[in-house]
Amino acid sequence: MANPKKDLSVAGIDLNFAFLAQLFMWGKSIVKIGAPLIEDLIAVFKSHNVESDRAMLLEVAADAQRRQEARQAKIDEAEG
Amino acid sequence: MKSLTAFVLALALVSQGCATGGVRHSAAVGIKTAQTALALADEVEASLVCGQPTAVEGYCISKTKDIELSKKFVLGFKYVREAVDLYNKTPETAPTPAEIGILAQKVAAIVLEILADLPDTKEKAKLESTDQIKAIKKGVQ
Repeated sequence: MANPKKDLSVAGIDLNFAFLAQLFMWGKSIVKIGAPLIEDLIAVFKSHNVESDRAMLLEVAADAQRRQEARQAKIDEAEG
Repeated sequence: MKSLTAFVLALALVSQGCATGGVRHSAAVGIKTAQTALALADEVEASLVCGQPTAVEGYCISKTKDIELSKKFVLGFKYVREAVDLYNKTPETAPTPAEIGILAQKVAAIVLEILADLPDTKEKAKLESTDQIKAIKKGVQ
């Protein structure tokens, strides 16, 4: 009781260190479990994006080819 | 805590190469926009050629002009195909080639040239109000 503030403070610091250590351990566990999940999620997102872009451009190229050929046929017909 | 989460997420995305993926996706969307604008112009131009039931007398495109414009269309569609080829040949991990953007800009310039040659009709006004033509005009400026 001579210096209750100091006792409480020391106890508080001890508690905080323990709490931080516990937090660190929890964090490690979360990263250990979560990182591969996030990596998988990003991989799925990226492959979906790449695949949908490829499919879209496949249609774009086919349409461009069809229209180019039609226009060329028109030119050839007019110019003999 | 919020800023830390955002930082960690950003770091994860960049380290996973999503920044490069974003540029690649933008290039794909740019090619698609250029092609759609050119295709829309293709349809409108074809409908305005003199003799077509959709063409208005006095505001129609002559056969000679049609052939002249067809040559521009052929070049534009060729550029689109070249851009797609280049996109497909570029490995996913490699940086997106600047040539794709240059080709898309060439297509955009052709679309604007064709647009300038179209007679002032409501079809042309409708074409100019599409998102693709607006995007092209914004991009070329």
